[in-house]
Amino acid sequence: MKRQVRSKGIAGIVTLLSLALVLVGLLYDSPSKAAKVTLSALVWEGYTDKSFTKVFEEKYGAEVKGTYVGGMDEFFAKVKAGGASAYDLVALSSNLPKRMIDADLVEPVNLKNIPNYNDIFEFFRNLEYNKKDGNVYGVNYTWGPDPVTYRTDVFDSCPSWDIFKDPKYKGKLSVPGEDNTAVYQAGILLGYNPYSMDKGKLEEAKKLLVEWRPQIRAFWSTAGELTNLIANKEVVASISWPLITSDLKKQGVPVAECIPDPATSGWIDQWMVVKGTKNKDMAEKWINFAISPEGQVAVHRVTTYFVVNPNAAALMTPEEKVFTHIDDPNYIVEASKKIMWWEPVQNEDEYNEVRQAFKTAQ
Amino acid sequence: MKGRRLEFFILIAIPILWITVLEIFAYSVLLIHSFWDTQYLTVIKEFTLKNFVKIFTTPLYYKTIFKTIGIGITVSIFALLLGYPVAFFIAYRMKRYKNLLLLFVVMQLWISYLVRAYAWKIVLGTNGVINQFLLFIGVIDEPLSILLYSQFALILVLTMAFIAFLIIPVYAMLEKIPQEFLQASYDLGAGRFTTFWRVIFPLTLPGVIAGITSVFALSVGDFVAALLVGGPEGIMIGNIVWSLFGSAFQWTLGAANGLVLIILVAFILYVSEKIAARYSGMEI
Repeated sequence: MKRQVRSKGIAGIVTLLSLALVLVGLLYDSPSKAAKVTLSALVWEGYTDKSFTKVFEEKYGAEVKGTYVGGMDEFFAKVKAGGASAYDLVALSSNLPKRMIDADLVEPVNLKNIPNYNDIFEFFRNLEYNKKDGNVYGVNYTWGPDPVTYRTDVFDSCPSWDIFKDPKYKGKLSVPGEDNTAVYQAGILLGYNPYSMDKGKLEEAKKLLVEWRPQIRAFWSTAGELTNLIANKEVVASISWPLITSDLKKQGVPVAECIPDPATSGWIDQWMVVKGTKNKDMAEKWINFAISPEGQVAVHRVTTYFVVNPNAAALMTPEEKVFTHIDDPNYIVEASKKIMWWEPVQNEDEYNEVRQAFKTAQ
Repeated sequence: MKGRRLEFFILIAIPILWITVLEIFAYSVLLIHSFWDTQYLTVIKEFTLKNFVKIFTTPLYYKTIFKTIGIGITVSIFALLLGYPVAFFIAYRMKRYKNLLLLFVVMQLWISYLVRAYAWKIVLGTNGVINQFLLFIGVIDEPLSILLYSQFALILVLTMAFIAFLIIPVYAMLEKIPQEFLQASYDLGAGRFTTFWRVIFPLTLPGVIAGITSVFALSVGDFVAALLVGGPEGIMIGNIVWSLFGSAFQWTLGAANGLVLIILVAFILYVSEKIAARYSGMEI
């Protein structure tokens, strides 16, 4: 008797639970019944921030769902695995477009649907790396250098790369530890194309980096980490990001940033349309919105990256204008003479090994 | 009977699902990947021993793995040397505040390990508490840089992070020892030291082993402390695996490194348990 009661009780609970599930399902589904376009995008963090996807949704009625990648590797792997059934759009850095185009994973955009393209700095429109056969595949969105941030109470002016060998700064400098920026920098200083070094050149780069090793107080991995290192005077100069300099200045730490001769590495990001998407029109509307003055200011406020559309200046605060150099079309031209933009690296595993050897050298 | 059977299945379904998905499935994926290869951004799904050859011929990998195990052993020894006396003190020398002290030991686990590691940065930093104090009393003229971003800092932080995992099981074993045993030992003419070494310590050995196992396994697999306070000297294999899986997109090599570490750690734990079992005369 008792047993029966118990199994009845279980049956009751199961029925209740399924009813509850059905209810939740109904509630969840009902508001989005209207045939609405949803754009899926695979992007760097911040590129589909709610603060501006909301604005786009109000204007065009399409929701933009962004998946943030944890690292560079995910773009190629995920688009290749999922294709247009998984993503309509990608926003990635200058080392990947060529590979995406060659692998036939993206399709050219129709510039007629992206009128704002004509407003972006001429410099970007003239770049070749995201075009093929006269077609534009990538629409530039943001950019930034990997500059040197230094304490102005230690250095009077932009330090030279020699500080990485000067015993005076032993244990007082830093470089990023989780990407290959330091290896690229070594390549630049050796006079090579930093993105196409073969084994022999990489060996030279490794030698140079091992000489740098005593200078390194700590390798940094997040912007917050380096900000703390410099603010606490553990580190007096480091290969860095503009965001870090800006954060330190806000904290009142005496710092400045520069690109020491001859050059540093840097990146340009772009939007691309995944091949075969059913929402191409809407995807192009999104790209047009992303490079509109409104979209550009919004992404700058989320990420602090430099942007490509000078018309965004009208919507910026004076501080933002100074920080992004948006008023000066020549700035990007001059800066790019001292920036080696990220390019695809074929033998990335060998680069990684050089970085790890540098990190673990005694 | 039917009802009970249903209950039983529901009950065991959860742990079985848990074990299959999170343990067996995850480890199988790791195992398979370690025998595959990566070229540029694609995983080549063909059997190869390339990753293992690379690990055992590249000093970067095998040296870091051995260094990591060395750090794990050092941390375990320090945790034992510092933690055992604490457990002993709480168990035998405390009467009124026993529970309060135990609470203090457990309480540090309530605070995220990340926060505790950051707290150590404030204590050990160039402008940190210790350096400021030493400068103030005039022992040093310049801040000591060895305190932070060094192997010293790494071992200190790992020891303090995981020491509670040793104190608690050792304390539990100490509590269980009947007073009569100690009385008998003294009656038979043993001094304090002999009583400790011949009676108390062997009886707490299962707790010691459990504690050391936890501390060792936790610290060998750690990469956060290395990242935060280890500096250039303190890079562990966990950091390398992390970056192989991250920006480097070298999942297969990362998986192989992980597998080698898992096998080595399992082997060390197996041997240490066997030795301990023989020494204490009981099977654990």
